[in-house]
Amino acid sequence: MEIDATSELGNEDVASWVGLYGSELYAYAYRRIRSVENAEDVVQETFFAALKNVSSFRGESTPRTWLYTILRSKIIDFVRKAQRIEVSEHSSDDLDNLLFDDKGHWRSLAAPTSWQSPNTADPTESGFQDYINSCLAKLKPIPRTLLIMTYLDEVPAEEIRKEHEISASNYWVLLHRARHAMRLCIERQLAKEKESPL
Amino acid sequence: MISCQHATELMTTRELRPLTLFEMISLRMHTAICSACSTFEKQIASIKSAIMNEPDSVPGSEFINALERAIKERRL
Ligand SMILES: [Zn+2]
Repeated sequence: MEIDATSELGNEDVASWVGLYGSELYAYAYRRIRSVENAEDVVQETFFAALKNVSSFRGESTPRTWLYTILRSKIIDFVRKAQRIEVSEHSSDDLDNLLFDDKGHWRSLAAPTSWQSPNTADPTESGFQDYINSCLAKLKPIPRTLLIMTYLDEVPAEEIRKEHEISASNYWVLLHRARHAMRLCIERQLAKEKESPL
Repeated sequence: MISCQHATELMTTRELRPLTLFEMISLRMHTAICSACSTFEKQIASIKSAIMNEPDSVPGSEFINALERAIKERRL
């Protein structure tokens, strides 16, 4: 979209950007936050911020690029405002005890066994995707967003880590716990499915 | 021979930095003979790819329409 730098931008322009870019910005936010309500909130805040600052937008970048910049900072704000979590250097002890014996071998009940359910054969299949989303929803906001952003290989994961003054080693702990927690959660969902077939 | 616990830790470390040659060999030797850890590795990978490949979600049309209206009416 061409912007005439000499003309004043106003409500109508920003409103038209909602129509043009609202859906993709929402998809971007949802992919990272995995909550409809929260994704709607950050997109709304993004457009309100854009409206407020539209006079400083000089068309040096495209509106789309500019909106993405605002959205990314709103996502970081969202995680910052989300419930602060305490992470001690030893917080993975409980999980480790649940999973492993003193020698670091899997405890017999915790050892991963192959997932037989047909749903897991193809990770893109909707049943598996539903489990992923319901298990992600059970994680706390910071580990969830860190996990997703680490997987999407994005800079904000590092920014969020620094914002929260999470040390590199605590970041590792959060990620490690989130990975184990997700796997356990999926396994439990699959076991439930086995118990009560439709 | 590294423990199963250590093997899963190296898999997490691998997400954040490349493993050293020694770490890489230790991990490969472990997963080659430990079926629990090689299963774990596959399951973690399928979770990762599901998280990465989740199809784009579409916002509710009411949401976009309401936001468009709100922006039009909002005073600068
Ligand atoms: Zn093992």
